[in-house]
Amino acid sequence: MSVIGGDPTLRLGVSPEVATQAMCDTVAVLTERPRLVRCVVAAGASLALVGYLYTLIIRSRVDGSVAPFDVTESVVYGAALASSAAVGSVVALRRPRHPVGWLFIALAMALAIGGAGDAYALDGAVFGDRAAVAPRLALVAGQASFVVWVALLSAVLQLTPTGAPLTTRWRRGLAVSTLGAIVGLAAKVVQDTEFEAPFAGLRNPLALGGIGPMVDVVAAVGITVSMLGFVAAAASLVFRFRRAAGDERQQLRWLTIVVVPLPLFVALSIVGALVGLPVLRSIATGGFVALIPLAAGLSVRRAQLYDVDRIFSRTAAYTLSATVLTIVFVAVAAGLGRVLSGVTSSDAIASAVAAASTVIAAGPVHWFLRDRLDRRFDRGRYEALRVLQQHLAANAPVDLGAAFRAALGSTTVRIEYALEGGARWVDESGIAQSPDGSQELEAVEVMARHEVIARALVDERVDRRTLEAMMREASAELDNVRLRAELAEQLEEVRQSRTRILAAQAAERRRIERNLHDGAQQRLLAIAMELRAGQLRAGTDEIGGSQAPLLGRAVEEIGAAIRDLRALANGLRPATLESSGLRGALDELAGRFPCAVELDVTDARFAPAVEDALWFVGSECLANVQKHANAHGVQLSIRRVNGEGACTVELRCMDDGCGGARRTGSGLLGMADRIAALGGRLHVRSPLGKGTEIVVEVPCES
Amino acid sequence: MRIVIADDSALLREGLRRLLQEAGHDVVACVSDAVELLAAIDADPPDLAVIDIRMPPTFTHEGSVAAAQIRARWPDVAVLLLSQVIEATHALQLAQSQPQRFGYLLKDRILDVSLLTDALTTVANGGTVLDPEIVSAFFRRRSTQERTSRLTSREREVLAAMAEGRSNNAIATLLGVSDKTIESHVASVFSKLDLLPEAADHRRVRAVLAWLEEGIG
Repeated sequence: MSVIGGDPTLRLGVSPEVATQAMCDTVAVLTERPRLVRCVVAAGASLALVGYLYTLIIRSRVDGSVAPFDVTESVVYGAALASSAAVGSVVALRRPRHPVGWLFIALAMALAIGGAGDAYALDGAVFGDRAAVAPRLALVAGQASFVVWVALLSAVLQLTPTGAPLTTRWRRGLAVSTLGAIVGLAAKVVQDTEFEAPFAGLRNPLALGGIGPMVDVVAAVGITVSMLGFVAAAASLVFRFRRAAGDERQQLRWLTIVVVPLPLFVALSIVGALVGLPVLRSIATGGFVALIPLAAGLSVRRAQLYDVDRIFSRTAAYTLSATVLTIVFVAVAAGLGRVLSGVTSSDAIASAVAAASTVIAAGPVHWFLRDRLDRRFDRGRYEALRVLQQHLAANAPVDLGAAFRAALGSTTVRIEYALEGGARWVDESGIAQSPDGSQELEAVEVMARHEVIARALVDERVDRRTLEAMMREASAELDNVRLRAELAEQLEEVRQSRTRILAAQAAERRRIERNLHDGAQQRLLAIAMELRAGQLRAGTDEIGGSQAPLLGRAVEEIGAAIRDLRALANGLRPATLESSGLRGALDELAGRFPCAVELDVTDARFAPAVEDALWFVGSECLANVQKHANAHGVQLSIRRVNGEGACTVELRCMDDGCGGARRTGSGLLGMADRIAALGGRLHVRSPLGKGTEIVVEVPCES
Repeated sequence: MRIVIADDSALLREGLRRLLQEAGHDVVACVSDAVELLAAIDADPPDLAVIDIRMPPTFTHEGSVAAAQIRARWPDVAVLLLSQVIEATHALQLAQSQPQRFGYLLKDRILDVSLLTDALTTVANGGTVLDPEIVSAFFRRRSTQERTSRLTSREREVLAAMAEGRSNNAIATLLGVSDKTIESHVASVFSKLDLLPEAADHRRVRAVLAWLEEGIG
């Protein structure tokens, strides 16, 4: 039937993926109800505790008969169980949507049920009816429970720290291994196993006798698949770590807690086997199992992300130096004991000497190991320096701020540069910064030639030692950027001073213009009027009649002087520019122009500095056309252009003359200077024989 | 003619007073700001007020403001505005709202006694006088903006002279042609500007204003 044949997972009834989805749905429902979450967590943790206590009680009860009570094993088992239960509870309560917390609670329950099952079976085997069904069922459950926790651990490894498998492919792999575990578990339940002592001779009450060999095969395949899944899950962590960046990478660092002591555990197991102390192996296994929940939990909880490496390398340094010192103590005590055995029977001297040498060795050993570990394992610093070096090696100008932010994985990092030995601080473009830095951010300074050159402002999450190492690494480039910033600041000062000079010049022109109109012109006018009055009187007077023409000529002369003055004042800055803006002033100018001027000037008014500059450029352009271009017509337009956020004024002057204007000519250079002082630009296009086009853009608000 | 002078410069005020007196007019008051001007006119309304546009306290266009008030309160008092430089906006607004009994000249223009006398007479008789500088500025603007002008260059010269308050006879003398020629030019200007025949003086004022209005618009 095509309906069933379409999707292979459908044939299995309930696919693991559907089951995972169902679990996620359940979790989603739970998260809506915090009280329910607390109840479920409490129930799971209590069940684990009850199971453990039950195991302890039964084990101590049967002690001495068939199975001696192994204290170490109980402690190790308890540690693994407590670790899963505690981490699971914390993560499930704090992040109920994250599956890892629930998986750990399930793991604790599986461990408890397994232990309790074994204990119940032991109880039945020792004190009860060996043939009863219940103890035998408990035995089967206890023996099969390892399949469950292997499956749970695989899921944990695959889902840490994000809560989802790395890719769809990994998700499928997890589904397959979970399926293998389910099949293996089911087969294990109905498998006809030979139990070991003290259960020798007991048989599984659920065993399927007829198809026994087939069940064996299915169990073997299922369990192998789930074991391979476990290995794959561990591998997925490695892949995840390689791919991860930023916070996820830091989160994953917590898992090194499990990886680093692994050699120690392996060594302990081997030593235990060699010396004949199974206790050592139990400690190693238990330690390993107990560390996984701890590491995964810290990773999922995103604890102390930026201190992982340091905490880790410090802990490792202590563990390792403790190990080395123990070896020193044992070696010295044993060696000396042997040497001294002929002289004295007491171990006291050997012990004292061993203790003394251990104390003497303690400091140097610890510092040596710590340095080595820092160098080898402080990956954060190493990675940060590597990223920084990549940035520094780039040929393009280095954006040090961006390099530091990328290397430290922090968006708040800011680099500032010191001028005058830290009296003033600027950014890389020379813009002044607050000398006191920032309230929220801490400043870390870097020196060169006994002088502070720069500082990094960082938040508390950034590792100080990494930052200092990076600042040292980048100090040459920091100094370069500082020099560039200093130059940029000086350029900015020059630009501002040029703007100020121009503004002062414009104000001075306005003042002179007013003074000419209201001072000299008025005075001349008054004199001329007096003279004219005198002339009129003289004309009617018979005696003074001969003076009249003389006075008349004087009035004419003064009138001419007044007109000259007016033209002069107008040339400085036409009165129409103030009263009717660029349009009025240019209209008037164009009216006196010998060739045809096509004007298209906006009525809009602008800041006096802008109008002054555009008037200057406009009149210069027309003067140039008249002087050099030999043109028939000229078009002059001024319009307002509204760009993104800022508005600009655009002046465009085109003639049909001979072209060939050079930007370096003093006229165009003067225009370009005035425009640049306002933060504007001037473009010249003047191909020989094809006219000249001058385009000027100035920000409205300068 | 009874005249009031308003100018903040004492020197200029005195010169103007002497000049007007020599030209045969009766200067009844000399004041230095707009407040005094209005008080003087209120006390003894003259035939004409000569007013400087820039006066205290801000030296921008107090004179124009005072002129508008005078025209509203004493419509019979003629106004002649003076300024050092062309400040067209306010003067033209006044001219357009009420062209009768109004004149606007640049200060140095009054050194030309015949032009001054013509202007005073024209304004006092209900006419309009505008400074040739303003008129030619607008002609220039028109000539730059609208090359295919409806008026010939000769007609424009005639119109400019009309705006200065000159009679046909004076224009004929100025341009060195016969009265009859000027009359035909004037008629042609009127028809081109769509001005129907009515009281001759008004039509002359309106011709100038219509032309200026187009120029401003």
